[in-house]
Amino acid sequence: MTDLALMSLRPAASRAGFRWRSLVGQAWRYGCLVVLLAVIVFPIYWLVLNSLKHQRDFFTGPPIYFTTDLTLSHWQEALGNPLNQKYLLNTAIVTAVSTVLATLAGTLCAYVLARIRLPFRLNRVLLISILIARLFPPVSLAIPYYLLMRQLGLLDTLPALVIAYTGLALPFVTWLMLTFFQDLPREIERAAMVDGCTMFQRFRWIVLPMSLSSMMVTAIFVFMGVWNELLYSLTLTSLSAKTIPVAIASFVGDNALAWGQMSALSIASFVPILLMALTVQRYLVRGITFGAVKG
Amino acid sequence: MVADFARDDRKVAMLFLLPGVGALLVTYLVPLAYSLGLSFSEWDIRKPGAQWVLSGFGNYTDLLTSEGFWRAGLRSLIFTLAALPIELVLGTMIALLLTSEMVSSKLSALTRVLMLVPLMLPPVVLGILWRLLLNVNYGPVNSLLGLVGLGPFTWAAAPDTAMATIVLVEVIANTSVVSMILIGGLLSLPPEPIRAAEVDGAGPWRILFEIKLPQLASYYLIIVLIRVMDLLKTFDFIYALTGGGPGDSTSMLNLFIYRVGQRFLDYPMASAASWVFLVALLPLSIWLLIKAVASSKDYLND
Repeated sequence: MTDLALMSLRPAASRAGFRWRSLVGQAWRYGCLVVLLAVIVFPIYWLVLNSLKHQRDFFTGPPIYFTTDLTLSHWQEALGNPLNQKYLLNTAIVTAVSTVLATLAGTLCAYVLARIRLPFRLNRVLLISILIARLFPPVSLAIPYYLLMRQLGLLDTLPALVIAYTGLALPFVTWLMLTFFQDLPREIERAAMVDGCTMFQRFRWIVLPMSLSSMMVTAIFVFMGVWNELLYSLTLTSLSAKTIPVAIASFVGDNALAWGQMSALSIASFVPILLMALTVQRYLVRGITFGAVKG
Repeated sequence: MVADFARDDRKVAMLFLLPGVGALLVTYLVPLAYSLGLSFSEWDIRKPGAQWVLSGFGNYTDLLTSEGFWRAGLRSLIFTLAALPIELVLGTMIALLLTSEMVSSKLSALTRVLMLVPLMLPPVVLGILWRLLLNVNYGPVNSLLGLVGLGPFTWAAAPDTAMATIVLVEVIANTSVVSMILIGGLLSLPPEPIRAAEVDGAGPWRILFEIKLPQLASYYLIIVLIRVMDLLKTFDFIYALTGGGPGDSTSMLNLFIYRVGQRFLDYPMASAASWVFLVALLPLSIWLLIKAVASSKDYLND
């Protein structure tokens, strides 16, 4: 009798306790989520607000958190400035050219490494070289690049940046494409080979069409990295070949109080990257981990 | 693996390799050889037209006895060792939060997309943005903290607090990397052992520490390797946020090398410093290489 009573009581009691605990757990989780969202969203809001505030509204204490008295003048000044237009164009050209070069050259390398057994254990030698290259801190190449480009008369030109960025991106492309080729079934290629297709024909007519989307994903990652790159551009350019990250960074020294223009130009350089990131969101983890995690 | 493709392909293969391997030689081997030579040289750039001449280990002994270099190295180490554990713990918590059944799935999906934003922010913009947010007099962070009676803090404006500020910004920007990788890992865990443990009466903490996290060990290894390499290389956002200052309080190895080379134009010394940096990174790189090559066995026809 008592046993029965206990048996009927116990689940009810524990269920009530569970419900209370889960409520606290839920409140705590949503609290954390709100903090997380605030830390992500507020800085972006602040950047947008700063790009639209009147100059007189920046240096107030406490700062103005919300106002409807906005202006587009910072945007007009930032984007109307012919120098900034030139820097944006430079960045676009350098990024596009080096992305295409690195993606093509790296894809060819990766295909050979994935499919052909080279003599002298070259597969392994090349793979290790590529990994070592990827691990390099770029700063260790910046000084020799600067001096070599000076000797070649390429300082402050777009080709200098294209060379540096193609080199920077190549190891990444090769490694990521290698992991994509690994996922590609070999049977079709094997069948084509039996039918007498040469390696070039197999690559051109079978592999390339199948891996176009992987190449796009890889290229987008490269594009984002090169677009944002600061160090090489800082080292190799001074006036005419400057890219947009250098232009933004130079606000700090030259025009430290132009917060509105600083913000407007920052947003202008961020939007293309963000749009690209959204298109490759599915592959982001793969790109970040260098293909180590398929995501 | 298998000799699946014909031997005649080797000529075409060499042709395929040519652009990539050529570019790697030009963009890595040539500058590295140049910088190695330079690091053993003297170069009086004040004399017009002077060229560098090999001079032995002078730059290395000067460098290794200079206090500035060691302080920069120590700062790199402090920055990395401070940011990494915070990113790991916070990243794990966020990943658990966003995969929790107690949070609405729409909201956590939205948060995952929003988490791309700090991650994709160009590092220079990140630096500029936090310059504005953490401005001592006119920034919103100090003003908001003031409302609850905290501060004002000096953030990046004073040598004592600059390093902590850099670490804070780094954590805010890159914890997403850790969370995103772990979210993938958590979602791919087999549900059976977790259900079994629940049935056996294991609490949520035990399930977390004894079932979920141990299964994610390989993910953590990759995260640690990637983060450490990237933390040691961090340059862009620090350049935009503090420029290595105030004084040299946030001048880590990268900035130290950059300053020696580009501001003081001491190219041989900067080259020597890059080589010491490279050699210091070697143990870590070799470890990463072993891991990567081991995981790539199936990628290669070797």
